[in-house]
Amino acid sequence: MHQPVLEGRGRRPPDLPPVPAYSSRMLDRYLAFLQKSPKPAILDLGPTCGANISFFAERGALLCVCDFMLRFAGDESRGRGPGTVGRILDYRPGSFDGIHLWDIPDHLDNRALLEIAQQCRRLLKKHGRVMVLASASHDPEPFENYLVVNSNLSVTLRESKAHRYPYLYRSNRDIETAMKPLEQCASFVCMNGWREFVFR
Amino acid sequence: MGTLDQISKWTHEAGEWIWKVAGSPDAKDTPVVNEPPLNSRKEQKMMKLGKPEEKETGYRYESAETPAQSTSEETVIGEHISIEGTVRADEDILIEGTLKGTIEVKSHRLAVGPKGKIEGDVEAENVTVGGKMVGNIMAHNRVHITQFADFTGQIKAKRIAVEDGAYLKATIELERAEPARSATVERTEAIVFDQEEKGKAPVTPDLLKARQAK
Repeated sequence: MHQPVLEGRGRRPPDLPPVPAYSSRMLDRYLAFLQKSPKPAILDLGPTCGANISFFAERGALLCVCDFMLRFAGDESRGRGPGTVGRILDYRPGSFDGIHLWDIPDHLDNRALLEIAQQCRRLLKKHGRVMVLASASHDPEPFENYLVVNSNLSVTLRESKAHRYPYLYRSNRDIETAMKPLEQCASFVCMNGWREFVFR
Repeated sequence: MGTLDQISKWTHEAGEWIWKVAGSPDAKDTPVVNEPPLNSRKEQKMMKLGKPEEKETGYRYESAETPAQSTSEETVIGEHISIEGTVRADEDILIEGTLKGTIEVKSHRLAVGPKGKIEGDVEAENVTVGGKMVGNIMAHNRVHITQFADFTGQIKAKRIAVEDGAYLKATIELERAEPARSATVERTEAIVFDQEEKGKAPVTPDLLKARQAK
């Protein structure tokens, strides 16, 4: 059985009220893009969130799920160094219509994020899209969260009991630079401070 | 003098387990405990895997939804058992040991317990993975991946439930339900069929609307 591999932020005290859901500005556009394909192939790089898996799988997608952060952090802690990202994302080139990075930019250094962007470029189909979410706060909520998509396309933050990773704030420009192998085609700042990006 | 087992026994009457002392007419109808006897290692093991330890192990043995739930037939492959080859069964299987090969329990339930390891493909009505598995799952109904699962492979099912935090590298493909046909379309087709049967002109949707308006 696996265990949490990195110590980062703490646990959310049970007496705190739940974080309200926010309305995503990106998801409807992203879903409309996916629906152009009768059976879109999606790569979800996690963390493993049952609600998100069901959301996309039930919409007819061929969904590849890879708990990237867990595997990456495990490999890093074993000192495997460069090439880790490529080893984890060992899928065939040009396989996916969409790739989900959720809040991965909040937890990776520039080198790893650049490697991810290179792999995304390799794995995407010609007209594919990469969906990225990132916190906009310099001082974010000190609890690790899952970003959970609801059926009305709002996004809820739900505490992750399994994973705790270090947090790293990035400006929009930093994210765009780190994802340089891809071209940014849309970005949104939501009312609660979360930022949403679409790359191609 | 015999042992307690020889002179007493559990009997199942009217849906209840009753402890009866042999040769004692007075004790004949005296229920002692309304629980089934733990008279085999298998049953004792199943009790261990039940709800009391659910929080500790994170393993939940599904029993609520499957057709096989009404029967108590189940094969447990214990944690000290290692099997290589093909397993075909006509009852539920719980794997706590190691299995390398193929498992076919087409109309029943397969569960991989927290200590179970499977390397190979499985086909079952419902599949629960709470241990380690590398291979492909073909479920005719539902797949449940628990938070302690370590799964790598492909999943084909009608429905899937994944607990947050599972260690997962999987390709998931759900069987898509056919879109429901509207009642109007079905009714139109029924009427058209009816008219054709009688050798009359078919009813068009416009004509049908006009009739419904009347």
